[in-house]
Amino acid sequence: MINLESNIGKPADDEPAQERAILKCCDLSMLYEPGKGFENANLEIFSGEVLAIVGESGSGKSSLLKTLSAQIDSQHGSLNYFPASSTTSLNLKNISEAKRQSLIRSDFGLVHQHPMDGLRSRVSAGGNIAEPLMQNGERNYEQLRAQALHWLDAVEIDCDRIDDLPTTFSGGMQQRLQIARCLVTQPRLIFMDEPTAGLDVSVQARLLDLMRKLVKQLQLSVVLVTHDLSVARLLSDRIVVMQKGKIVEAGLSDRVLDDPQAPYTQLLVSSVLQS
Amino acid sequence: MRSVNEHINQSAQSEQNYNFAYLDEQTKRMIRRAILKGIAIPGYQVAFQGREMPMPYGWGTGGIMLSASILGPKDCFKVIDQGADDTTNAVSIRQFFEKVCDIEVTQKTANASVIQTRHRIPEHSLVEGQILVFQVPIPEPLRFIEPRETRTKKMHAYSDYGSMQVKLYEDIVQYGHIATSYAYPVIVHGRYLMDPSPIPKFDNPKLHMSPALLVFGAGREKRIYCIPPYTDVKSLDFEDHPFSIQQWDQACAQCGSHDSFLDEVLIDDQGGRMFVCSDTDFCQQRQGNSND
Ligand SMILES: Nc1ncnc2c1ncn2[C@@H]1O[C@H](COP(=O)(O)OP(=O)(O)OP(=O)(O)O)[C@@H](O)[C@H]1O
Ligand SMILES: [Mg+2]
Repeated sequence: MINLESNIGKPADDEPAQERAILKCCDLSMLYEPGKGFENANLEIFSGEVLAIVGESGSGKSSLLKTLSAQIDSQHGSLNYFPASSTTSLNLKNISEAKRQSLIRSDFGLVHQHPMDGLRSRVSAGGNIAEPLMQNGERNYEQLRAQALHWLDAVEIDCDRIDDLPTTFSGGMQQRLQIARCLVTQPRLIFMDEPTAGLDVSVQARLLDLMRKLVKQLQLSVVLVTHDLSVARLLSDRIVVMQKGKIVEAGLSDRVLDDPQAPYTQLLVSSVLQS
Repeated sequence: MRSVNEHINQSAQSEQNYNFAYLDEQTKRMIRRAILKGIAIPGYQVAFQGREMPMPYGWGTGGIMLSASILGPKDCFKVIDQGADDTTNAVSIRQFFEKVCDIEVTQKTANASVIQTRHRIPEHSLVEGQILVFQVPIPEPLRFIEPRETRTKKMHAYSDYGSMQVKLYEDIVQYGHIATSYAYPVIVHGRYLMDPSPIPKFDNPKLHMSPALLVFGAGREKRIYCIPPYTDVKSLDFEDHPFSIQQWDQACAQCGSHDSFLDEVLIDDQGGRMFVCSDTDFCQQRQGNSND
């Protein structure tokens, strides 16, 4: 039932799903201890889509995101990535740690909830954006500056701030800077854990606007964890609903939000409508 | 002295526990094994079990343990501190080894088979067969970015060195050029990031394709790393801000050298100053003096 639902989200119906999936997990489980984590997750993330993972606190959203992005190991099930350059998929559980790291570096982007977790506090904004490029071998200072300026502009930070420390930035600016640092290497797949939580409502709105724009412009594939259904509605193509470590519903965002099937989702949606 | 040594040798033969070069043979073998591993993996920090030495950390205990493991009765030993043979640290280490192994010592770079150094590489070109032992205060070049050892180990494992380049980037942002001038980071054999110890970047080019074996010892952190002879050593830089060494407008006031590393010294209490070679042996050789 869940798999049927998730297939609705694919761009066309005449090719097998594997051809367009970018990441796929089957029966994936990761439990810190019984009841803590998630179990039997079946998911596909398609190229160019935004997939939101929603659910209450402790339902296992972050655990699922960390496992999907290969930051932590799972105990059961499979996790396959489909590189752009190859027709066969990579089993992320079987490849060497070194290969996994280099793949994460080149293809994945990570945006943390707390921006300073993804930034260096004693390095200027420009240095923060340029670091992933240096990591990938760029050794031209002027080129690094140009890229830093380009991405500052893309996330609507004044170019004058390029040499300022991120600790002098507001929370919203720090989050935009983190996104710039994440995007500079042009990753194929971006993982975000509650990127707008902890920000004022008006700042949130601006960040959401920006994220929506960038996702469209750059045709990003994104997995987004949020407990905020309005964020999911605004940004995502598809939604996965989690409860107590299980995926209880998955489908196109408007379908899930307007016509929730699982009792838990119905509760979740109605509580938002009431508040 | 000679008679003492003979006495010691005799005692050793009669199964007494005095040992050549202070450390026991077991420890020396362990350290040599670590050195061999370091030579096999150029630039990689090999952990070893340090021993208590009769001087505090910061006085070159890492270098002393290496020297003690390397030196044999036929070696000729030289010690420099900031280029000079006659500073307290250099003198006390030299005397220590004269006492515990009664080997020949020298101030001439060309005559030495093993040279222990703090903060400099001699000006006189080293040759095949020579070993240069560096005293290292902090072996981990990534430490200031990442205090956790578990993390820096991973960074080395995955050549995750972008953050080191960031340091140079920040230099240019702040000063308009790469201002790092000591302990200037290098990549050894295209693989490991290495701290060459606090030598001036002036000495970095001497690391590249050196005919001599270069070994580095950190006593406090108990790490050994090596650059085998004729190894590629590249100082980090940017294409449009290439690595460059210190330069001086004047020559050495004593020997007239234009191409050695100069120290600024005060010559009176009127603020008068002059520039002289930091390598005292090199400077005196050029002035036609001989120490030995
Ligand atoms: N490192 C950990 N060690 C042990 N248990 C953990 C760890 N991280 C999370 N958990 C537990 O696993 C369960 C799922 O946590 P997770 O962080 O995935 O939830 P979440 O849906 O992201 O919640 P939130 O909305 O509060 O961020 C929780 O019960 C949590 O206490
Ligand atoms: Mg969470």
